[in-house]
Amino acid sequence: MRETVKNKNADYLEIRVEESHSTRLVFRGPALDDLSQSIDYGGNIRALVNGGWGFVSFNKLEDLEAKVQQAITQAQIIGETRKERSTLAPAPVVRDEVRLELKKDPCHYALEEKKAIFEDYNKAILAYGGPITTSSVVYIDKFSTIHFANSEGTYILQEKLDLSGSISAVATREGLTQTGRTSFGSSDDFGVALGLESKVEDACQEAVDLLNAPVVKGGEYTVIVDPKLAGIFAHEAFGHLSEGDNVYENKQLQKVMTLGTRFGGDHLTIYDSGLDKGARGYLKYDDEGVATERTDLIRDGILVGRLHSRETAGKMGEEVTGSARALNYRFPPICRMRNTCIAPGEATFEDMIKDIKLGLYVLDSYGGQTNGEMFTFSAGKAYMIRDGGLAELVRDVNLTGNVFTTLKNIDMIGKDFTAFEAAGGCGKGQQGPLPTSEWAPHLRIQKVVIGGEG
Amino acid sequence: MEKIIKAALKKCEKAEVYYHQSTTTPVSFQNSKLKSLQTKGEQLICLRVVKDGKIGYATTTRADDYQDLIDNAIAVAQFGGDYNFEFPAGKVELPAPNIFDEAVEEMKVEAIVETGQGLIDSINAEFPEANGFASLERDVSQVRVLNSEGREGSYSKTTYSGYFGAVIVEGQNMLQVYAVDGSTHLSEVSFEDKVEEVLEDLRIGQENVDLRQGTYPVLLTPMAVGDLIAPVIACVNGRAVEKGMSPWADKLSEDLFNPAITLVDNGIEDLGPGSIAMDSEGIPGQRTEIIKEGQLTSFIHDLRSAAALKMEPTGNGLRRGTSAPSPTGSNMMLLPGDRPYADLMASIDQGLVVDALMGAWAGNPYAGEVSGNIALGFKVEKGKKVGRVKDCMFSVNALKALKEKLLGLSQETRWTQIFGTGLANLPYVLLDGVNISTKS
Repeated sequence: MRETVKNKNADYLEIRVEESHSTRLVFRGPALDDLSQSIDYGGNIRALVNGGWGFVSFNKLEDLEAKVQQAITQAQIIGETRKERSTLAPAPVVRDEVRLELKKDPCHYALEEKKAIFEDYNKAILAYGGPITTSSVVYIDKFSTIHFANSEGTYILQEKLDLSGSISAVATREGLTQTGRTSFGSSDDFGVALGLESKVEDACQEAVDLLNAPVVKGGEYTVIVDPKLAGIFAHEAFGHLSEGDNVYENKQLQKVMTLGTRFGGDHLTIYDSGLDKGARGYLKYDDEGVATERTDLIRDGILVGRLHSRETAGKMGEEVTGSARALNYRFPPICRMRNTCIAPGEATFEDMIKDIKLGLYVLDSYGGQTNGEMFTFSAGKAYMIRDGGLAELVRDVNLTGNVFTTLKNIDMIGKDFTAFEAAGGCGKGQQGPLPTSEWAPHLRIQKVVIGGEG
Repeated sequence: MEKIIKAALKKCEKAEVYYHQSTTTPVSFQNSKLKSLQTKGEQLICLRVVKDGKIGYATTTRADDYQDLIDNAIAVAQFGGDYNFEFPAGKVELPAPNIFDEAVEEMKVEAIVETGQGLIDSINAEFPEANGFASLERDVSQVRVLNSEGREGSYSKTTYSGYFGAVIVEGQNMLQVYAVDGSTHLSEVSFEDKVEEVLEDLRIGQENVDLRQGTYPVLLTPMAVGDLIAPVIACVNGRAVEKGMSPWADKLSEDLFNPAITLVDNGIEDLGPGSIAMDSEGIPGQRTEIIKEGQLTSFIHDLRSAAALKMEPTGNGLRRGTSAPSPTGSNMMLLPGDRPYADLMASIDQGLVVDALMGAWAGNPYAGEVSGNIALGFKVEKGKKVGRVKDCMFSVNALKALKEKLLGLSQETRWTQIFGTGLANLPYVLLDGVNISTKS
């Protein structure tokens, strides 16, 4: 493999070969909906010539020489049109083998035991009674071994584990359906899937409560968001904007994202880290063989960094950050997040809520999206805040806003900090879901637009 | 594949093999420049076995080593779900929709590059500051299904599809406009025809206008109609019906929507990007009327959901990636109405055109709530777009709106991508009284 990328007619060449084994287990209602095992084996070659990238991915590993040539030819075609010098930020040559160090290894649980664990959760939901009509329990684990070599002499073997799951209770009444959910994820511990009985019960209760809850009235509110939603806010609203590939060739966006620009109050620090062992976003080396780090994006309200591939760092004259990630061998690495965090502040929940006359306490998220300047999230649930205290539960709460104004409108940051790991992941282009994490405290945000009837 | 079936049958009673092979050539432009050329060669083998009345399922991308595949499937079958449906038996004649185009198969990558560059150049000719992007892709694939009961079939298909557009950033104001197209045949795809629409939205979109919170008539473009129709598609999914997620289990032959609504899943539409000769369980592709003139007439099924509900399979047992088959639309088509788009537009005195919603997929589809930030939308006064609206939230209950708030559907339709669902052919839809929340 290492020989394949040596001494070829390209400015840079790399090869990645990956083998993964995954197990997927799904209950929907009383039935086992899916239990399957998949083997995914394949690789790719990526070549850089005069600023142009060629990429060839394959399942059949024969004729590697021909594939290398094809990638180089593709890169040359682009190089012809771009006529640039290839610019990759320097990265140390690495030779390393990264083996898994697991707490509870999912392999130590036979298929039968895994099935029994999740079947128990599923049975608990279906036995809850009342308006709980059905359930959904999903568990996925994936072991990968990735070999990476490049023309600079780097060779890395990395083993990875990604496991995650979500457990949902569905309540139905007169055509209305509501869901309560709990979710988990880890890169080193099957233990997170164990002992969830009380969380499953909470999910059931939540679905039932939401069924009885009124729809929120649309409009502009002061909101307190819980750490789960705050983390997803950091990811969606600011993380994506910090990805170097969105910025490096876009002069206008570079102006907006000039390092040193103020984006929030002194209390606001957002960072993205590959160093948190156990997090789904943990990663020792990215898919260009660059060691990961903690990258501060906003420090004390000021923009101080962004997430780079070697190319975007090189083009912008900045340092590599170990943020080039590929979903699997079918894709080239692009700038991605790992574990995106908001650093804790000083406020207590009481500080945040006491002077809100009419507002919302918004918890959990079913997903969010951003287009650079605006974001939107669907909340798991929310409580009205009236006269400084929590009031009734409301449903169908969707938050939206402008990224830049909303960051400035964060006026309080909690002193709590929750390491939140969940199923799902991040999508970008066709590459999703990529395992990521989001850790954060409670936040208070002024003037958030909530959808719904006014 | 015959070998896999034969080897598997030594250890189990029944087996089904699905084989998929594709070569995809994606070409991408970023920041108005050619960015990458790729070639992706993929193969996938999926094996489903029945052992002692239980199902085992495994997949692999290694064609050379099928023993692991068989062992995995057999291992899973010990604890698998019940085999409570029947693999289809015997040979049948498969439909032969026109879905293979040699012109796509033989297309040179240079020709795709030229098309992309042409699109970007025509945007930059008027807006030199715009960051053009394009992603065009040619795909050639083969599918084969074989089971131990004698069902066998295969087909080949070509697709040429993609999107292009531009982003203009001015201060902290970002405008992104794009258009989508795709077909099985080269002659059916014309990205060039959509350049003028992109340019028009870039012209008008640079002016932001204020909008008061309230209810407005809203004309949804086919792209936004994708978000509106997604809950309907979720509710007619046989699995969701079977599992009690969908509220429509007992609603067949009820009038759910305005009679102008007819939704068809046509798996055998000539040139349809989602067309198939058969689904991945060997059931022939078919045309299924789901909603006929407002009335719910059918769900879409795979073998399992059909058996569970004692209905006929509809040829919708399709796979996404390595997942087992599940009811999935092939070509979802909301049939067009009788009014030209221009008429619908002209009928709006004060209202909106919504082209792209952000995050509208994130809500609970079975409840019908479609709520998203208007990523691209325009205020309309006296039938004309007057500027872009921002920081607005669009909220409707799709299941109610298609009954109570529908003012009209356009004659024109477009192929567009629905989040998590696939391609659909959709008209423009005019709704009345849609809630728009804005900052006060």
